[in-house]
Amino acid sequence: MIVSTLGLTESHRGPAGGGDAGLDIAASDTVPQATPGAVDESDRREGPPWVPVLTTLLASLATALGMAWYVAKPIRTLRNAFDAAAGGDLSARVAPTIGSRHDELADLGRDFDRMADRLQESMNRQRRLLHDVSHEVRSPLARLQAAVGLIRLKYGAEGPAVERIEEEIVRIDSLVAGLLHLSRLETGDLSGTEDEVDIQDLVREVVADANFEAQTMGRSVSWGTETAGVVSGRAAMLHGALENVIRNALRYATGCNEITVETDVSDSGEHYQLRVLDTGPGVPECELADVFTPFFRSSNSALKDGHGLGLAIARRAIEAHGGTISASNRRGGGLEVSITLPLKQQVPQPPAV
Amino acid sequence: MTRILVIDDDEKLLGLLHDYLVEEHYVVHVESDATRGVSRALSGDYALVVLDVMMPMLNGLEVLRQIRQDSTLPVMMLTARGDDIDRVTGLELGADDYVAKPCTPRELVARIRAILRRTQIAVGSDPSAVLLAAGALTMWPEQRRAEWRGARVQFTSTEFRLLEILLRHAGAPVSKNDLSLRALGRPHARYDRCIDVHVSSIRRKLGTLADGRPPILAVHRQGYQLLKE
Repeated sequence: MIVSTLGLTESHRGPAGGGDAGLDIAASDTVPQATPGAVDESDRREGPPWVPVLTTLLASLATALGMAWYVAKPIRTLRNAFDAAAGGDLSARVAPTIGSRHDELADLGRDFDRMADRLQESMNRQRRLLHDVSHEVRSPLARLQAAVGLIRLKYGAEGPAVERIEEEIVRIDSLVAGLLHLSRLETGDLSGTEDEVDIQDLVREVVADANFEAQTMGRSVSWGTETAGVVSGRAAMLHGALENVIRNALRYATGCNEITVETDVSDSGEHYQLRVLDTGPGVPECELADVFTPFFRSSNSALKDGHGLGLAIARRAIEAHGGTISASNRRGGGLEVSITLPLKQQVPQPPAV
Repeated sequence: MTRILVIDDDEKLLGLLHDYLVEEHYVVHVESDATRGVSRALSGDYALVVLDVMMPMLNGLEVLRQIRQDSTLPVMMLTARGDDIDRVTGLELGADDYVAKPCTPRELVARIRAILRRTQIAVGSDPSAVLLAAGALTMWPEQRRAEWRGARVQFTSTEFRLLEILLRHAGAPVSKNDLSLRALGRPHARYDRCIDVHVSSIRRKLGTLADGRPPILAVHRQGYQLLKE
């Protein structure tokens, strides 16, 4: 609005660089040969009525900008803090940038800080609790294992019952390890550093291992056409995620003897896409969203040996790499689990010499 | 008989491990106090220490650090399964190998044997030892003595063994699996950083070659190679 007023003034009065220059020209146009003192006189006498209007407008523009900045800045700070918090970083605080202001925004900022404090505290508490619980569970497990070893060695105890005890100890231990792993993934508390991961290599290894395991059951896991790609992330985590998805198919796709892995690069060239396909019973539509929830068991599956954490861990691991994972039923029957991962670069790594 | 010290804060577990290791014909002492654990480990009475690094009451990693300040005594860590941070930190502090706890005592004994086998070769061996050398590195495996540019360097027994294997194959890469089999007595597991951490401590102790390169090169997908210079 203000700008258009200035524009009018300029076009009316002739060419000029800006508002202020336009004003000067206007003044000298009106009284071409007057001394500076006379200019003032004539201005006061017959000064154009838009001068005070313009001054007011400029002043209000400045004030408005100031106000906008004054309001927008803390909102921006708050937004950044919220973004960080949503991303799992609860260390951002608003108070230091608010300074000594005392208004609703400052109150909001201080409320945010209080909330972040409490959230962080409860998250730390939960992490400590999980750590403590796992330690508390593992201590008696370690004793149990040592005791079983001792009765084997010292008293020569053998047989299915002793083996059963040992198997169950391993089972509880891997459950505790899975829970700890999941909780670390959820709190973003990841160990190790990010690397460039050759995803083709990784898929090949996982498929080969899974196929080896499947063949002992008279089944197979195969990978159609290989796709090259490099993803930035943690190889062990991605390896575990893919292994869990394939192992899940092996475990629950009863009557399915062939599990296939398909890969390609998305049309945009930005994502690596991977699908694990089986021809088992699939999962009822209403349960599809739940398969990635810890301890979920489909009503379609007989009770199996797994501890129900594999797909939940896979989802967290894939999401931690900026990817997505979803499950759907295939038209001809069976389950399809699709994974996408953002590619770092599309070029396959040259083989080492 | 071989003397072993076990440091853990779980006294009930210590009792069981003690009985088990005694059945396996070791002389075993157990210790649940960190300070006493360090001084006993440094007494020179033991061939190996089994150390729980996850002890909540006494910081196991701190115990390890104090042992390593004065000794290259073989240390086997007990770590939590899946806890990579403790494991890597422990290896960086100079632990020889680790066993995930809870583990079967049979597995623990197998690992203890693997470490002892290579540390005890030196005992009673021929003192007119074979000398190995390549570039600035000279090793007397029988005496567990290594020199880099004429100055003696102290290595833990696993580091020494790894460097010896690399030296015997100087100029050619040795796979991580071979290194793991021959130095730790177990195959290399995928994503296991044990060998990497040991090699990086060896590198740190050796420094660089005249041209600034590290004397041990990582060869992509093939393992590690000691340069002949």
